[in-house]
Amino acid sequence: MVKYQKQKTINLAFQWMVINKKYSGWKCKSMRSKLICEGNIKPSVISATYLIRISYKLKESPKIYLVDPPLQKNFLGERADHLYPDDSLCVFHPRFNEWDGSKLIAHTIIPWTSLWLYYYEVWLFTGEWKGGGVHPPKRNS
Amino acid sequence: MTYLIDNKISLLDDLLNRIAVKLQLDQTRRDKAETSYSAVSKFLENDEKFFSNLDINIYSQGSYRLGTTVKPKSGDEYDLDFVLEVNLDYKKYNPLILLDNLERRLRENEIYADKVERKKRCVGINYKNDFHLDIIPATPKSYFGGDDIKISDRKLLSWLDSSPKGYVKWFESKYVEKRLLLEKAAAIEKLPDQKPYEFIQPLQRVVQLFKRNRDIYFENKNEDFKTRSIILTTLAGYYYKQENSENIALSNILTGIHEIVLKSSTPFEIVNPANHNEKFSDLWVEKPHLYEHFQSFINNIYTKWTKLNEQVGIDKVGKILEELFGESVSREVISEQAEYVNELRKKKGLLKTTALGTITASTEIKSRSIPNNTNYGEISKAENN
Repeated sequence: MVKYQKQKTINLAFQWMVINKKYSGWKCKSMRSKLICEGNIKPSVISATYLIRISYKLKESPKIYLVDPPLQKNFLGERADHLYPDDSLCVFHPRFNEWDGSKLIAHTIIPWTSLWLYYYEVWLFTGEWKGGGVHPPKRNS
Repeated sequence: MTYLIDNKISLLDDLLNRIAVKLQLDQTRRDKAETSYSAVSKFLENDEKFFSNLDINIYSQGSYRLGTTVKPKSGDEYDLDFVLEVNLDYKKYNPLILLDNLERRLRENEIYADKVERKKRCVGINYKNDFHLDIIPATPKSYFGGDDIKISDRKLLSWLDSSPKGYVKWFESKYVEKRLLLEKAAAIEKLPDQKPYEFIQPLQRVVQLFKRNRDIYFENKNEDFKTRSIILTTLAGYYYKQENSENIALSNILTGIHEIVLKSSTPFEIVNPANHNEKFSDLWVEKPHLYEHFQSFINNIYTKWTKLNEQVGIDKVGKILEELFGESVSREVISEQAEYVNELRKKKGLLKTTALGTITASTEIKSRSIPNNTNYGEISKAENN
């Protein structure tokens, strides 16, 4: 018997099934080794509703995009910090072992996205990112 | 029922409470006021020329007594009202006897001399950067005491009816028997040990918010146009139906006042519920344009409050709060609320998501709690150049 077995990668069909079970109105499509899901998230009861797209290729990190309403700059005209250059949302740290293929998107990526959106709305109004996290120092002038 | 995040009412109520807490008289100033007024009381008792032969009693009234203080928009000094009740048969005296003796006595003291200000119905002591202590001299209407008193007016040169103690009893009779909602929810859930703020009666909070918006609305207008606090407090008490939520309470109160304002093109009468001879709206009769300002003020807050409840998006809600209560206080409370959500996150297993992806602290939802994560970010090339 092996005591510490490597966690098994969850297949796309199962990821899809759990998303559908936990969240209402989400649509998914899978093509070969890629899963694309879209659905609404309303991060808090006084928040707006956001259409989110998650694109997940096995063995890679899921990509999370805000589809609608599109990303906005805050009242100071700043771009949100926790974004990748292609404007996908950075909801977890790629090197902190927070995500791997043995985790369920429905239990990690979607709740993290909801928290991200909550902090995003707060940031739009206050200019402060209250969600913590890390990002490389800005080097622009 | 959960504390914060999955109930629109309590999420807004939390913000409203935080705003009011930021604006109210802090404990340090409260202690200072207590010390000041008992010192004044002692100093008057030792006045051999007049007060030492009389029974005197100083007690608080107005917003200080009601627990509805709000930091003034201009300046840093709170207005704190006290009644100096002196037992004498008022009918035998000139109405100015108390006002004049109080002023004379205070000016005899080095500490007060340069702080004393003569006003229409009271003598003020101005403590710079802290508060104005307004002392209203009065005498009981009946020899046997009771709530009704007589106060005097420098301009009218007569004794007038008042009943500040009766007013407080009336206001307090409107209270919810048990202050719940936030308090109960906070107790049920495993919240951070420290309460986010003191839970007081929703009616007290509502009056604070109402007065704060009045201050914002009249900020760039003539100071004399401002609707009196006692009018707002009385109307709030009158239309308050023991709602547990500040948001719902103020919505209902504003609906009630808005309706009567629409119906009454001319001033209506607002009296002290404990003594109908004390007319709070007397200035409206003298100067009808003050009533018109009151009407516009009510229309404004009513419209904004409706909008507040229709908005989605914390940033949008924040903007309306900013219009209602001021910019810095609104940003501060939204930041504080987010920090509070973070504390909830730290309590393992407290935050979950609903079917809409909404963050919740509900114990009723059977779901996995949100695992820890770190927001990460990379700067785009374009931005680096």
